[in-house]
Parts: sequence; structure tokens; C-alpha cells
Amino acid sequence: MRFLLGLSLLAISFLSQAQFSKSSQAFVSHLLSNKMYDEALLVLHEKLGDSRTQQQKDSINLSIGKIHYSLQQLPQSIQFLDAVSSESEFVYEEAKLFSAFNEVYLNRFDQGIKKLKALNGSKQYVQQLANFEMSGVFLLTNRLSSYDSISTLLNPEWNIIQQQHSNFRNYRSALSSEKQKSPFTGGVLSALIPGAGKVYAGRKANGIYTFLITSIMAAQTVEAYRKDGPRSARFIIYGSLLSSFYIGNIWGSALAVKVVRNERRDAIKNQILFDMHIPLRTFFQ
Amino acid sequence: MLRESSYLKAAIAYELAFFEGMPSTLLNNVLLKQATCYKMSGKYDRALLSLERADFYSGSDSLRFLLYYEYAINAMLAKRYDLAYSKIAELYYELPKADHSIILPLEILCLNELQRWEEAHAKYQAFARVNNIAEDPYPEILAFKKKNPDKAFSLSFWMPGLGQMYAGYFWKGALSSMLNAGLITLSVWGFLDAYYFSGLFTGVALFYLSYNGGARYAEVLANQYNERKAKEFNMTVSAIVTGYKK
Repeated sequence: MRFLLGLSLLAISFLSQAQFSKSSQAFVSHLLSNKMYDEALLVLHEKLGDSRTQQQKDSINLSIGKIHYSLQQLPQSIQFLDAVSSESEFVYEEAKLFSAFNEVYLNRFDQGIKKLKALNGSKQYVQQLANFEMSGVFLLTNRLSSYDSISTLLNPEWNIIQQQHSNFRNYRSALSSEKQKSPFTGGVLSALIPGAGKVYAGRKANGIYTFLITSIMAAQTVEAYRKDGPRSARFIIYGSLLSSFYIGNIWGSALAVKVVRNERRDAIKNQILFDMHIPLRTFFQ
Repeated sequence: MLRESSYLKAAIAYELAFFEGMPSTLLNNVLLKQATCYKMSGKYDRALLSLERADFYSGSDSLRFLLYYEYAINAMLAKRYDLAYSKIAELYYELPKADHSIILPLEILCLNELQRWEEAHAKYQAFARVNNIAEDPYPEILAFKKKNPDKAFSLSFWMPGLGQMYAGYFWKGALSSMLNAGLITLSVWGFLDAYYFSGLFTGVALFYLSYNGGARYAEVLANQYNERKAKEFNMTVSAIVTGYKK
């Protein structure tokens, strides 16, 4: 019992130490390596409240920001990373780069670019990283000419970005060679031949299925028309179903073109984001 | 919130002690306390991680017993029943002379969750003797025949609705039978009146969907029935062994 009391006092004194000492850092690292994120955040917040110098605050804010980043809590991550002041040069640069990446991940591209541009005039390797991140943003926003001009500033031999820079070139080719399919054409094709718009969008099986269902419904409508006439309840029901399905399919085909296009873009977008993250992680670890 | 934060702070204090090193005689005590903090704040998996760092083979028997007990209870609360039961079995092997009556309720609940009714019944009888409990809910569950989901599926293929009735849902079965009979009638009526397309694509197609869907639904209902029965029974036993029901 005495031991436990002593232990609690030890913890209280640890949590209230003004210095974010090496031993504190080692303890936080220990917590993180054991995936005790809540515990690490609590220790860091206590330390932040007690820190006296700006450098200590910056160092702690960076750590908190990076833990939120690991937990995919990006708005909180940005909040702490942005609190890092430019007084602590290296810490500031790291915080700005991660904060910019978070902004991009949240689709706030302009904010991301603004933060990356704030690193103009930094050391060469930071400038390289910022330019690399910016090239990723240009690909994400489909600004291919801007991508081309900024990629000339990158050193393709630098091992930190070498692989990802090469990947970016491939994404650039994929984006530029992408055929611009029109939703309008998809709709028109489905109006002429039901399901053709979906085949045009790239969903072949769905298109064939739609064609078969429409044909079956049409056959039943024709049968009802021939046997019972145009005023019969049977014809009206089958005719209404066929019309609804036919019109719905035209709209669905136009939508399918958009959806397939977005799916393809999303796949590339996720790859770009992943590749933007790798050099940051490699360099700062 | 405040309480949870206090538990987290205490857990950090114990982690710091672990991190800074301590005599091995105190290590288990610290980890046990840390696990209690996590248990009290509902973080059972984290409590298990704390206890996994403990040395279950050294220290006093009473402390070792507590380690096993806390591990089993946290595994149980984390719904990892296999893990909880294996730790209880280890406790019996490692500490044969300990007072096992304390662990009995936990073991019974664990065996119930694993649906090992006969073993649970034997343990329950021992528990009931010690605690002078006359009530024995086990005969009902031991006599209970589980509904076979495959059988429910097959029965609904032989006769639509029969699988649902077998699974214990008579009216759902009756409704399914009537629906399928109606669709067959619609198809036959269509063919007899020479509405071949309507008969084939509306009557037969809808019947096909309803027939297959009904059989799958019967399978789901059989599983649901078994789960419901087991849950109800486990709650009854839980109320008795935890003392909520006298």
C-alpha cells in the first residue's frame, strides 16, 4: 500500500515536471510503442500546461499533433501542428509539412498549398519535400501543367522521394490519357438500346442484365396489349412498369458514367495521398 | 468523464513505475492495479494487455490467484470466452490448493457462453451446493434440441414455409406458404389463359425469388431461435450466480 502511495506521488511529480526532459520523451515513446495513445496524449497535455519555454511547447505540440495524425483525427492534428511557432526551426518545418498533408487529406487543397508555400526559403531538403507535396496536390486537383512545372524542381535521385516521384509520373500519364466519357452520351445510348449506356460507362455485365430485364418487361407489355388492348389494367400496369424502368435506366446510365469516372479518380487519389505520406514519414522518422 | 480520467492517470502512474523498473516482487502487483484501472474504465482489452506482461509463475499464491482471476474476468468482459476459460483451466492446474469456489461463478458463465451446457451444469451443481441454492435451470437447456439451420433450409425447399415453422416461427411459415401458393396460382392461371410471358416472367420469376429467399430466411430464423434460447438461459443463470436473483 505504501509502495502504491509512493508510486502515485511519483507519477504526480512526473506529470508536473516543468521540463519536457529526455526521460519524459522516452516515457512518451514507450507509451506510443505500446499503442497507449490516450495515455501518451494525457501525459503530453499535462506537460504542455507546465512548459515554460516556447521550444518546449513547440516540441510538445508537434508530438500531440502527430499522435492525432496517427489516430486519423486530422482536425485536432492540424490544431496542434499549427500551434508550433517558427522559433523552433526544424520542429516548425515538420509541423507545417504534416499540417499541410492533413489539409490535403481533408480536401482543403488551397489551405495545404498555402502552408507548403510558407516553407519557401527553408533548407533545401525541406523545400524538396514541400515541392514534392505540392506536386501531389496538383495531381489531386488535376492541374497537370502546374504539376509539370513543379516536378522540374524536384531531384529525382533523392532517395526519400525517388519511388514516389516515379509513381507520380505514372499517375500523371494515367490522368492525362483518361478518356473523358460524357454522361449525356451514356444517357442517349441507353435511350436507343437499353443498357448500352452502362456498357459505355464500363459496366458490361450490368448493361446486359438491364437489356434482358427491359426486353422481358417489353415482351409482357406487348403481350398484354395484343390480348387485352391498350385500355386494359394489365397493359397499363406492365406499360407503366416498363416506362419507369426505361426512363430510370437512362438516368442510371448517365449516373453510371459519373460514378465509374469518380471511382477511377478516387483510386488514383488514394494512391497519390498514400505516396505523399511516405516521404514525410520516412524523412522525419 | 472525470472518473475515467482519474483511472487513466492512475494507469499512467503504474506504467511509469513499470517503465522505470522495479523489484520483480512488485511488478505483478503494479500490473494488477493497472489492469484494475483499465477494467474500471471499461477498457478490457487494454487490461488484458497489462496482465499479459505479468509473471504468472512467481510470487505468492494469493497474488497469482488474483492475476488469473482478473485475467479471466477481463477476458470474459471483452467477450473472449475461450481465452477466459483457458485461463481458468490454467488456474486449476497451477494452483490446485487454492479456494476455487470464488472462480466457480465465472467458470459457469464462461461455459454457458461457450454453450458447453453439461460441463456448466456440473459446475453449477457444485456452486448451488455451497450456496444452498435449490433452483436448477439446467434440465430445460439440456433437454433443448437446437434447431438445425440446414434442416430448416431443406424443409423450406420441400415445402415453402415449413422451414420457418420448424424454426419456431409458425405464422411466418404460414405466410410464406400462402405467398408461394399465390404465386404458383398466378403462373398457372397465366399459362392457362395463354399469357405465356406474364406467366413465365412474373409468376414463375417471383415464385423462384420467394422460394429461394424463403429457404434462406428459414435458415436465418433457425439460427436466431438458437441464439435467443441460449441468451435467455444464460441471463437466467447469470442472475442466479451473481446473486441478483435469490
